[in-house]
Amino acid sequence: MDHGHDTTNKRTELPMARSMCWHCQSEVTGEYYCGQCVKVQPLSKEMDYFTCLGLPRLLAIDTASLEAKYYDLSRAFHPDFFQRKTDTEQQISLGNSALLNTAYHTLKDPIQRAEYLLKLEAGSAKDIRNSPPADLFEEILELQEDLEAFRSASSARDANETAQHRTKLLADRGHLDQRQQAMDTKLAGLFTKWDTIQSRAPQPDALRPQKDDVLKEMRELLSNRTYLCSILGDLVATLEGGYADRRH
Amino acid sequence: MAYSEKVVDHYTNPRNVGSFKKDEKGVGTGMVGAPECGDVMKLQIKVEGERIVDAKFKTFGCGSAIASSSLATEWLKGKTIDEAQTIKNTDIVQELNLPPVKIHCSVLAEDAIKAALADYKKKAETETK
Amino acid sequence: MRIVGIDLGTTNSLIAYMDGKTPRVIAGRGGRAMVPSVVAMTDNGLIVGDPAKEHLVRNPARTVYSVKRFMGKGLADVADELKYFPYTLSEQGGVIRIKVGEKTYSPPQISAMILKELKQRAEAVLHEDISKAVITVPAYFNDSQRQATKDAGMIAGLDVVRIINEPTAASLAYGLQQRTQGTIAVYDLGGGTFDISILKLKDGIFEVLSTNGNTHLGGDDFDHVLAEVILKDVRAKHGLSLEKYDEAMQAVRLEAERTKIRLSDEQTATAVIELPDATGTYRKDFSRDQLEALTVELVERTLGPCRQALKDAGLQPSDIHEVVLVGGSTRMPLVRRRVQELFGKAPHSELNPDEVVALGAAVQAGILSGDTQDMLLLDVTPLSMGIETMGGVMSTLVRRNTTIPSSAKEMFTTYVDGQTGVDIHILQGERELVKDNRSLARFRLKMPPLPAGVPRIEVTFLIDANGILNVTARDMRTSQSQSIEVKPSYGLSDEEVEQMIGDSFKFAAEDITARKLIEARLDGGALIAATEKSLTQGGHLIAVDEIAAIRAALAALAAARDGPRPHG
Repeated sequence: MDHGHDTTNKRTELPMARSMCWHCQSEVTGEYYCGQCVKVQPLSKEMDYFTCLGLPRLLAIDTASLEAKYYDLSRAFHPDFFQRKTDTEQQISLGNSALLNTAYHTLKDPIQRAEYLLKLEAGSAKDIRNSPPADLFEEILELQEDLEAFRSASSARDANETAQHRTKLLADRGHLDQRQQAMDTKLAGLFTKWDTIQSRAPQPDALRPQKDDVLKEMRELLSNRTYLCSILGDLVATLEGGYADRRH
Repeated sequence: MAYSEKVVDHYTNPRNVGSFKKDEKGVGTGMVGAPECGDVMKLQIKVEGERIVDAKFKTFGCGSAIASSSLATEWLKGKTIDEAQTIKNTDIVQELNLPPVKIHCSVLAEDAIKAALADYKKKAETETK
Repeated sequence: MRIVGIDLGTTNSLIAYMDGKTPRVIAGRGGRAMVPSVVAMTDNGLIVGDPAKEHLVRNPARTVYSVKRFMGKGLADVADELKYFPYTLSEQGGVIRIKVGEKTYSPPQISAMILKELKQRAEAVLHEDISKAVITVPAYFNDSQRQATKDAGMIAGLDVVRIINEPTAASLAYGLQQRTQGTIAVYDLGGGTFDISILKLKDGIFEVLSTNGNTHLGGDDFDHVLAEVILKDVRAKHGLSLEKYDEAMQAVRLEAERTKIRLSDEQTATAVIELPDATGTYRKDFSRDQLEALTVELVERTLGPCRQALKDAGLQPSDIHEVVLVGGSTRMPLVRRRVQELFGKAPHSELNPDEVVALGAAVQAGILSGDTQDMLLLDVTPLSMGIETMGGVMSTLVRRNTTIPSSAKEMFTTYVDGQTGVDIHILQGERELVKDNRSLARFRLKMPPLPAGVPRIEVTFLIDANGILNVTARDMRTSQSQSIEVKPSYGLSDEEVEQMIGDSFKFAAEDITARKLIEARLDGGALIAATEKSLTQGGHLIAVDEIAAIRAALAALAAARDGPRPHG
């Protein structure tokens, strides 16, 4: 099988840590491997994840091609392929791989991707404090009481009570699932909005007010989604037993 | 070093859990959340004259968030509005000996106090008008 | 330079290599590939594997088995399972020590004896020195257990080029043979540990999506359940407490294991035990139904981790295309049934579940040596890793199921003017409080004596492709890197490992003599048996005085075989 990397001189978009090969000092301009001595080069630590995976700063991502790119880069950088190389090359491969893994998994998940974009663009969208969604909070607190009632009924082994509470919680769960889906639909809309503006004006300063509006809306939606998911997580864990994911 | 005993005490026996009717006279409601971790806190005060005569809370969150709000309601009771304004998150951190990763819980409690006081004042203004 | 693959199991160990594009296990003199992970310290020296297994009942106090359960552990960790272990355990520097006769060994030293046996076996077959190996560990092994395995390799004179997870190793062997694409679940129930891993196989990439398990659950526990029934029954029928007899306890444990294995093929099996003090022979019939009723709870305990792994991968059971069974314990029909019910499809077992892990280790060895270029394994760290913050709370830096290598950075500063150091405590686990997680190591970060808050030391926590943590620190003000001395909580220090490597060489010569003696005795026995057979079949064809000479030679050989160890 051809696994796609021509190790001698592959041109990429990737910013490297240095403009000179660490080994033979010849000029390197975005190759994974030095053109002269074929040694692997360290990726720039300041590189953002979109750049790392050769993507524009857009939120709609084709996961199949993202994965293909990730696998391709893994074949270029994974420590398995540097076992017989020098210590320096092994260290570089380790660092490049670690960066690549974080980049891929951040971008693969749409929520983490959006959070990451917000962090990248934080220069102008920082400190967005939204008014808390009071009705959502009331709902969460009420649900928490229902959960408490279910837990005490089931620990008191009151089968009847437990069954009643369970029915209610199951209904709540259905309701919350729906709300989450509604949020996700809205989020998808914001993704498209961002992508449209960003494609039209990729320069950071261009259309800044419009961009910030979208980011602000996205920030608020993501916060509300966190509240929702955290109570939903508790609900599911309580209903299904097993260990709940640690709360902070 | 374990969680401080005070945190554990406030967490296992939280004081003043519950709520008042929102539109009841003299009630101020503060509702705040920490979007980073999904914690939600509702804190209410009941004011007669210039003094807070009762306080209640409901919190969805970790042990430190519950302990922080429990402690906050304890402190609020009997204080005047002006005195209540001076409660700082650092006081809560000190009293409960909260670790750095849990400081945001005390911030949340302070925000909840501020929000409840603001809500009360707003309501008081419209009522006197 | 050739790299071999080693499955260092709780009950059995194997060694394999790449023969061109095909992984092969290496069989010993008797044709058996499995080496029982048993080490016996006899008067005639150290013996390992099948011959050592015979000493379990004969000489229990000097025969060590299931040492893998002690790797990377402290004494308190194994308190509940000491009943069947006849040897004396103690703890030193957070590491269990096993007293055998006059000497005391750490678990990595015992494991090294098994590794050496495997190494010698490979050297004999491949006719070359073996110095590099890939060794497998349970996927759910923590950092200390992995490090202990690496230490064992070093003590055995092996450069452990990679530690890989058993279920993922199995998937490599399975994927290579079946050319599978899609999502698979590997259910691995071994002698002492359980793992579940979910992987995506695509175009030669083996990407682990999630893993879970229990490093304290395996075939041994099934044996113990049956053994308990036998012990209770013997007490009731004969008024004998076998717990007082080390030899009888081992006999019960081994007979329970044999009965369990027979019940995988038969509906009924009889356990037979010679009772001590000439009390007589004890017999008890077991049915498969009985065994299943007794062990159903153990099988259930494997299903929780399976569900959690599915959840962490964001998958439903129906998303799994194939389920692969690994480990001898998956031969139990109850295990197969429950796994089939959970995933809704019949599990695969085309490959020998005892050998598939070693074969996969050989495949990974092939990748590392550059001979296999089209396959790549992307594994994950099974447990979250973090540091202790004030107040006894764990702050997570790398979450479980993160693809490795992976790194996290954390900035540290001082709280008091002139403070010269910060103590850092590294932890592994999923719980909120430090005390509920596993302590991995501690180190002291040196700080320049400056006003509070001015020093800025960036610490990088890097989990390498072995799943082992590496810590480095850099002063951000001077850009100087700082060397860190990490003290493991449950591990041997570098000096101790050095010492043990030295010891191991010192005793090697002695061990080789002992080994040659055992082999000569086995050869002698085989020769006697063959000669006797020939004499019975064709004795009438040769002269009487020739027969007498042969008989005399036989007697001399038999005397030599059974005689004491020659001195010198």
